[in-house]
Amino acid sequence: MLLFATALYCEAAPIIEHLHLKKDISSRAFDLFAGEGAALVITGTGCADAAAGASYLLANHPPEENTLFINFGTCGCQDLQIPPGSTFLLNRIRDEATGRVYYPDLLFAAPFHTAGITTLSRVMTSARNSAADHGCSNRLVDQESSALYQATRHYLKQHQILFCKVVSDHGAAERITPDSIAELLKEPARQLLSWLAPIEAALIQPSDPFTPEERTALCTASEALHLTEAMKAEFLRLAAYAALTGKHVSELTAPFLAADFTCKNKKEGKQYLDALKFALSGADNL
Amino acid sequence: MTHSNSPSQAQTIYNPPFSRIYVEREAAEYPLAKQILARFPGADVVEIEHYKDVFNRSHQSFYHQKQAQALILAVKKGTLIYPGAPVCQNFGNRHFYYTSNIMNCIYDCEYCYLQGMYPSGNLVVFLNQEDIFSQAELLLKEHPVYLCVSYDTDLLALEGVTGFTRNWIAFAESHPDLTIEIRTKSAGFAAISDMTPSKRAILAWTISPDAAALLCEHRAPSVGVRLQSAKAALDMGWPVRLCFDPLLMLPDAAKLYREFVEEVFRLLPAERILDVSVGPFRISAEYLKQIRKSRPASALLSYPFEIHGGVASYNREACAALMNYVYGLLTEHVKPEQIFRYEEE
Ligand code: SF4
Repeated sequence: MLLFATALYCEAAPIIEHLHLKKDISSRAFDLFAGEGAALVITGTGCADAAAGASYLLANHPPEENTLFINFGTCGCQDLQIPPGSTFLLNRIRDEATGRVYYPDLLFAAPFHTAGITTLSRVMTSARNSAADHGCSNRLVDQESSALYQATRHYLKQHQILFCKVVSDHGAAERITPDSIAELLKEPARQLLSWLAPIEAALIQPSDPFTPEERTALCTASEALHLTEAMKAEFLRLAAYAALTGKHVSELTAPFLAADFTCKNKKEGKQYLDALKFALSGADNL
Repeated sequence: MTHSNSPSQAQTIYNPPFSRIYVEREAAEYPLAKQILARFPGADVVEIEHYKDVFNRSHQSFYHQKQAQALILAVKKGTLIYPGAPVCQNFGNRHFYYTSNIMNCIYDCEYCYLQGMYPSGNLVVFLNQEDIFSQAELLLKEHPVYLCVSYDTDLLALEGVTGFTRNWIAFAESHPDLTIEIRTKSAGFAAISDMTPSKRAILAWTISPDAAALLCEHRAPSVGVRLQSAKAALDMGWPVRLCFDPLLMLPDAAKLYREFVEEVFRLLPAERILDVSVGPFRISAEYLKQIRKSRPASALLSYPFEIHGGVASYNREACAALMNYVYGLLTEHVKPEQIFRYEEE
């Protein structure tokens, strides 16, 4: 699932449009949009709102192994050589208020350059009084990244948290309107979404070694053996190991699924499990 | 049914290894840092204060980071040489120590304990090898030292990047009471083959039957090329140790190991081998728990391990049978006094 957080509606607009997200009218605390395999929250600007909004999104859409959280939006830039529309993935986030620095994991090959950002607690008014004044090499500035990082790392693994920032201005008196932002973000949003799709698909590691039929047979056999949850987990592991030794899951489960098989209680079930463990331990193979 | 969770085609979504390099501010001053950075000109270089700011972050995925391993250049402070752990063999050496110039490894063995030990799959290179030398010299003032220098990593596999192995060999050569062991699964002997063989630098190759290597030693060179590397070292007169460790309980283990031992000694002249070690797969039960979580589809790790004294290993009888069997095979080629068996404490 793709989970987006943007500060403003105009930053969200291209994502909403591309993914055909619909507004969740039941959402009270924040504007929430959802669609197939994706959801988006508009947090508002500033650290406190960003952290609250991201937590709200993640509480409403509990993350899984293939969830990616993306903060998408604009940022200021203190380097006048970098034109508006330049898009970066963040590799370093410095919180101006605390001086702490965070390092998002960037594991996936991306069509964007990387950059560091400084999260300020107030709006940048000129390129000169921004991050450079705080002894930091980060070229970008915003008001949310550090808070979003701190909030989301409680829910997600590091590699699932991404920041995609598009330079909108240099802190001078550039004229920025919601429409101009939406227009500026259109192409980066398209690029971002086409980059994310295969990553999301590939993030699921093979975690289930069984076919659906094998899993059903194993569950039925576990019930026949009166196994507790912990014993069932052990049984499944044994079945996975049995496959390495060339045994089919069906060979393993067949005796327990036979019509005349009886097992009175979990104590007896454990005896069967121990016998299976011994048989698979290799003790009588050498 | 999948037998292992080897990195799949999904790998293509990942950044190439070392395409991100984190550099501690202090480490950036080292000439070696500059050399390494020059080797990876396209890398995304991120300045950091301390390696732990990156390496010790919470909620990292060892597995996914291993697919796009970042390099962290750092300077290590404090104790740099440690007394050997009981799960490791001391090869009859009383003063047995280890040191980690590098944390983590470029290979990705399913059974590797580092997956349970480290919070991150990234690789930390400590550039201050000279400081480790200084600490080794202090120890050498007290007694002879046997030092494993390729610990918690594969030093020779990274020789092209760091040059650490060659420095260690030169250091051992100039310190008569020091013997070092360089353990590896690499085929990288060529990187040091221009050096004069040193009797006090033992090159130790970890080898397993091909079936085991294919199943679970991801990204490591094939056993065939490891053996060729070992042969090249032997031919030049280097002391070579062969480590049949970990022995893995695989289907048809007897046949697999019989054929394997024969193959090894067909290729390598047994009389020139320094010694051989043999030990079963064993791992801290805590680490095993974590590794099973991060590699849920690993059949190898699904074995019904027994836990004794916090260490997980194969069923005791099965383990003893496998150990005795392989030991017996080895005695057909090398003298019993040349074989070091891992014995449970
Ligand atoms: S070669 Fe050794 S250190 Fe490297 S991954 Fe394999 S077991 Fe771990």
